[in-house]
Amino acid sequence: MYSFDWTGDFRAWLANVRRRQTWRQIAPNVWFIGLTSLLTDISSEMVASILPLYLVLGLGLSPFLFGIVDGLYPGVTALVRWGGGALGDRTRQHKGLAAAGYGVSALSRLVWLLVGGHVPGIVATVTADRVGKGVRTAPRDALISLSSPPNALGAAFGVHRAMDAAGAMFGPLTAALILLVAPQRFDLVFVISFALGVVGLAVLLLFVRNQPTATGDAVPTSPLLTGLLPRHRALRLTLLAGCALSLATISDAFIYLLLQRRGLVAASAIPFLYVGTSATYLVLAVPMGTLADRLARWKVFALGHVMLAVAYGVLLMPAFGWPALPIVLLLLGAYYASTDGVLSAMTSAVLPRAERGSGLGLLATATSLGKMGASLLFGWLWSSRGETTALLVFAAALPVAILASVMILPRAQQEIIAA
Amino acid sequence: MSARGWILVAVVAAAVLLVAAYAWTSAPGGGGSAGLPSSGAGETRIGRLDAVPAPPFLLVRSLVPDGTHGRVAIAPLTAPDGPRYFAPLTCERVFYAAGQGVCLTIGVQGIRTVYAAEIFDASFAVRGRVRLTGVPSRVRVAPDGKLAGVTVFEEGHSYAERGYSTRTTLIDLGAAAEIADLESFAVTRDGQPFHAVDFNFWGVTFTKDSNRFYATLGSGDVKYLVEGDVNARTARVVASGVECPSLSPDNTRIAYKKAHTDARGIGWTLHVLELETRADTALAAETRSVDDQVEWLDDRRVMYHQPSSKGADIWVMDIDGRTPPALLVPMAYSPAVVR
Repeated sequence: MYSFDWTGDFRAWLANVRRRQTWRQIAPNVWFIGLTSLLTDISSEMVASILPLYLVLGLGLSPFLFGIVDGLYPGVTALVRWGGGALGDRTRQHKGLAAAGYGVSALSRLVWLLVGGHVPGIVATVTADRVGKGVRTAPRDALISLSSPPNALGAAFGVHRAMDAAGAMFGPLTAALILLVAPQRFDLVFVISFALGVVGLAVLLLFVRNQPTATGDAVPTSPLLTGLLPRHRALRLTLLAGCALSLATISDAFIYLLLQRRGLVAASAIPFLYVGTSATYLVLAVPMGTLADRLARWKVFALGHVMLAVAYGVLLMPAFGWPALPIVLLLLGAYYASTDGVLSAMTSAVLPRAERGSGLGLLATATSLGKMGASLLFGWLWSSRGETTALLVFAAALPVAILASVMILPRAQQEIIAA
Repeated sequence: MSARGWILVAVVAAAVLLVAAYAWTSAPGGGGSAGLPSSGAGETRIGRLDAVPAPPFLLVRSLVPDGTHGRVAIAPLTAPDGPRYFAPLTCERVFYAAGQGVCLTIGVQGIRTVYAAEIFDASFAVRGRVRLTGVPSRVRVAPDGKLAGVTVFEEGHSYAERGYSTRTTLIDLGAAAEIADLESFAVTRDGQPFHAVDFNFWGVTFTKDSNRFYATLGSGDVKYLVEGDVNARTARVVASGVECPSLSPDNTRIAYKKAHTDARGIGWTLHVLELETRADTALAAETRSVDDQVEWLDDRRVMYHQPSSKGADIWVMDIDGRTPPALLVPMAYSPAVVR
């Protein structure tokens, strides 16, 4: 039942990616949302990549300030994601909410210039940016899913995630280029970042159409947990699988730290590892999304996690030497390409149109809490039992979670097709 | 083209114009004068120095926004806000004691940003250079001029991840070479060996005898005060809740910053710890957050910086905790008292 006809599937998939039909199924809305994400990600990542430098050298402060901000409300930004989606369903204004989120984040770039070294101002600016990012995530994904035909959800999310990854890749490079031309001109980085954010917001406001849910659909009166989860068994199962897998996922930061401790990369080169992973993600997101639509989304989703498990295996074998670095980065990028957008596609597929925002918001909250828990657990294991034990525990837990999801997900997805 | 298309073109054009206008008006020496000092030109009369004067004096990194921005400057202790004299050195952080100075620099090599600690002597001649692995944050030279402690932030990527780490190294100034990374020190707490992967050290302050020093050790969410022994390569935890310690000239007290997240918001307050009695005083007269490793002006007064619209100013405060802080040196940063 779960077997892959590799060669046949591969040939059909390649033909599918090449076919113009596949690209035509991507709605203009998805391209424009992707463009907004690309511009916003360049804007936010260029600021994120220079903030430590700006804080330490420009203001004489310490970047530990961010650690304190993140430590203060670890669950709040996760909950905001859910709230954004639920509010989008309630008001049927996914576009308006996404625009508000993008707008707040764009404005926060300019506020950096005004607050200077005023610590409460810095805290407020970081918080506003976080809330803006949290609010827009679910309404944006809801818009993507509502704009796409059910059989092309994977490809649509693939296109969006590829453009998002491109932004994440070019942001730090853009900032580095600005500082190269104009050394220490952090203010210029903020102004350019703001300008890019405004153009991104304009693309969203001008070209993205709000997607009405079918007129027959009732507006969900109670988008809270009590209403949504009990009614949708398929959503419960999908969230369960997504959550279980996110709990067995080591964060990128830890993986890069492991690579650094193997002596494979210098601490100063870690930003380049993010670029390497983003580049792989960018290239593979659309092919993997298309493959997911063709094959079965849960298969590609599971395959992505198998690639992550292989990456853990490579990290566990020091004999690999330097090739471990490119192998791990490729596997990591492929893992993102096969899982992030695909999980959103799977979740969208099991939800009625009127409840896409709440469901996708719940998914974003659940997986980010899962990842947070995984990071805490991994950090604790590393500190108390050493890095090898920590890696072994996660390398053992991941296949178990993959097996569980392979048993759960096909049932959830079948239920939808029947519904 | 549709109306929406034209609106987008207009938005893009406005964005480009905004960036161009900003870059033009804010450029140093460019069309506008936004970055130039409107007053205080009289306070900062430029004089040139070829060697350090006779102590005592105050050595700072000057932030007057003109051609001297970032230059090392010297002012007499009797009139720190008066004329300042410029040394032929530009640094991000600077410290000086007993004929030895350390200037932390940032430069560009190809497309890479490189950081270094430059060691200079009493005539401001750079005698040695030690490569640093990240953004320079703190530097202190031991009172006898033998050693320096340098803290850098290793480059993180996204502030969404709590991935900041510090690295603190000790430099032998005579040999102009790094002799130790504090992470290689054997740490004890309550007599037991203490180790964790998330160990971060920062903010060294040396005793009169440069073999002994204090520093911050961060692990988890706790900031420990450790007392280190350079020759033995050991350190022991002596207190917690202490960040960026600074020993008073008579070595009896430690001024430090303590993090708070309460009604005042997120920030740091300065405290003074008496090493003998363990009595701790919060310097509540300063109501703003202080994020600095303080420097002692004398045994009763501490100096620290506060960010300002021109970069930063150096403030001074009595350690009685009651006398309000006062502005000491406008447009300056990274003070060192040379006694």
